[in-house]
Amino acid sequence: MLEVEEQLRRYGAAVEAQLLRQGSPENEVRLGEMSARHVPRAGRRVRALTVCAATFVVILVVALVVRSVDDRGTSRVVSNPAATPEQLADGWVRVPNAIGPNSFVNDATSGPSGFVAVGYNTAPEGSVTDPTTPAIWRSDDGAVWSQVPAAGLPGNVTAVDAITSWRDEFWASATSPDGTEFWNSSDGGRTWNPQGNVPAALSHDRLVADSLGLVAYGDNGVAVSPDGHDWQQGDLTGEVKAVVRHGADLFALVGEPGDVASGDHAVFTSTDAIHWTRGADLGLTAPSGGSTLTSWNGELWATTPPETAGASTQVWRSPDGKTWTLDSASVPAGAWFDTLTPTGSYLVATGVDATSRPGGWVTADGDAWTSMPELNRQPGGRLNIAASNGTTLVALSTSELKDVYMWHAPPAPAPTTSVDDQPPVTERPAVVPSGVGEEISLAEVPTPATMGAVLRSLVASGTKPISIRARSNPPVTFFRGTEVPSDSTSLPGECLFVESNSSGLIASTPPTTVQQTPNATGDCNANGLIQVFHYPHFGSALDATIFYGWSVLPAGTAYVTYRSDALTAWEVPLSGHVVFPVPTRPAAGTLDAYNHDGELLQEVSFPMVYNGASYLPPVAP
Amino acid sequence: MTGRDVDEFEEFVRDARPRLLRALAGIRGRDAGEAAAEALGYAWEHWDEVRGMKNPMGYLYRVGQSRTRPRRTPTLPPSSSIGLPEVEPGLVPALLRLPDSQRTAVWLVHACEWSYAEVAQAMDTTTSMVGNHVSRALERLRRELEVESRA
Repeated sequence: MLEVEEQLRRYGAAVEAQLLRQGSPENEVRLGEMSARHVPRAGRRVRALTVCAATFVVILVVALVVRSVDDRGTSRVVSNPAATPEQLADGWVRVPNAIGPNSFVNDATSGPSGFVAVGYNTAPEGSVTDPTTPAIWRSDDGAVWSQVPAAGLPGNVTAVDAITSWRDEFWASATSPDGTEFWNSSDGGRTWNPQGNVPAALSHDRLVADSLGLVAYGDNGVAVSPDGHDWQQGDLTGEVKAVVRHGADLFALVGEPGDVASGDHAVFTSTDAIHWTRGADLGLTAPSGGSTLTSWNGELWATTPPETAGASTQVWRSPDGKTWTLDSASVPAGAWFDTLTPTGSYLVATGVDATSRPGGWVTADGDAWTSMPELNRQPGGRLNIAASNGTTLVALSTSELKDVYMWHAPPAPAPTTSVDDQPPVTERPAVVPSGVGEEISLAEVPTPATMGAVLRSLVASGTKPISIRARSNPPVTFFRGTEVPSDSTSLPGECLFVESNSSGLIASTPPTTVQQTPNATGDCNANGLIQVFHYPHFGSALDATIFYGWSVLPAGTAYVTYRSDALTAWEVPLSGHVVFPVPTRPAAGTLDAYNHDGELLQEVSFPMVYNGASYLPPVAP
Repeated sequence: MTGRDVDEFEEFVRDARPRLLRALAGIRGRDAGEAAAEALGYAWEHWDEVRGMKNPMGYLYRVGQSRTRPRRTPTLPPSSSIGLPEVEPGLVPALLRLPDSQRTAVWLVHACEWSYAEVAQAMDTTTSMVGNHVSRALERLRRELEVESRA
């Protein structure tokens, strides 16, 4: 037997040769060529990451074993025909340094209580071999992140590797000296409880919540647990890149064992997460990462690494997981997709772009991808982690990059059918806000016909309506409300309320609405703010709708946004005012008026001055 | 960056790339390419600084290490799969079972033939500690391989 030292030397040399072959000379892009390509256009130095990525992450020839699929099969919903590429690009926001220094993120997810990311901390000036400590971050909105105090984390672990939201709790896996440790949190990630250890051989690079239970996968196949405690290893081997449910089956994208840097990409399917059947080949994998799988728009979507240096990610689609079509023509040049995440009606990809900067792309139909705008991005770091809550996507990086990127899905398209009070299309704003929910049309507000008429009459008359009742003298016949104490600066005067029913402003019959109106001096609801409580079913407040109206808009207002914890929406003014319906309960909110160019004209706050009426049974005489 | 700088950097990459790949394979396995790319990307960005270093390899090794996601255990190919019948089949599994510091040190010293000084900088430790890690690693590898070869 050779000396161990000599064995190591020979083995090291062989590994080096193997790695170098991945970047064979015929596939290399020479530095000079890359320089010529990038320097003049961007007017800045060549970013060597591009060069080196092109040099090293050279992709082997893809052996495609895909059946020809001419017919793309399932109907493809064009998700949002009203969203322009500019709108999709405008949805991106960069949050610099959202993750602190000396911390690294491994995974992130979204749950009912917000976003949670997991990873580890390193010693500020320590050795590269110093032990790390686990780290968990929370964010309500994806923009502001705070690290959970170490006291909230149990166990003796060095890093938290994966997280998912399952059965209204967060579940995380962590590396401990005894194997894999699972934790869960039922308070939005603030505190965590150990759920026991499992053997170290169990893969736990990623977790997925599924109807079968909790599914863990990674370098060593797939495991499943119905309860988070008892785990069963599946018969799938190799490095599992992604697991996703599509219809009745689970699908896994697997980089099968090969040599140091390559192996086949294959799609496997299973009904129980334990027994897996090999399906289609998607070619050879590259030295690292860059492949994923998701279900969107009725199809499975997969990515595999670029075929040649400097090329783009390969995007695959399949209606059934069996027949796959390569559909990469529209992927931006040099883009490398690390994640694919459905968000709203869109598919969002994140990764690294051709200039080695963090990249993000959005498509509404799978055919056209819109790239994120400049956002002052710098080369370095790839967005290889993404989580979505349905309307907002957050993207993070496992690298030194500490920025978080967010993408907000644009509002739903405006209805194209003609509605009486609907402003003509030509009057609609050229710029609509992103991240403020859906558009609400006053013409479609599901309120009695009197609603618009009442508001219009109030505005038109410029006077107080009849039949008002002072709050201090409220012989409200059938409903009793409670005013919310407010400070003197926001509410200088006494508010008045008027009862009405669907036929008008009267108080003699069971009221269906309670309106807050300007008082005698008009200073209770400055700016023409009005709050109307509508009760469609007499005697019950359960299905109330509270309408927030603004009738003295700044000149040039093209649209108004309303933001509160109960409703986020925007609206085009109708006859000079807007009304936002908030379901069930009142909510303090903020109204912003914008002009046609998206410039803010005025912001007003809507304090919650009245918390709604409750039924008061009639008293017998 | 001038044309001369570009030429100089290209020459540097020709020498550094194989060494970085081999070194980073010990901690990143199949992801060594990505880690080396990150490291050389950094070198390009900071060429004025890197060109003047006495030991740029140790420094860039750390850059590559810190800028890529660590796998819990790096994946390395079986010796038989890369045409090395003379290498004991148990070497790679035994190597992967070593504690991180021992594996890193013995890999860099013997598989990559780095000097103790280079390894010390890469591991941010002293040469004597590198020596300790290496000797313990070799002792453990010999023990495991001997046991296996007798079995």
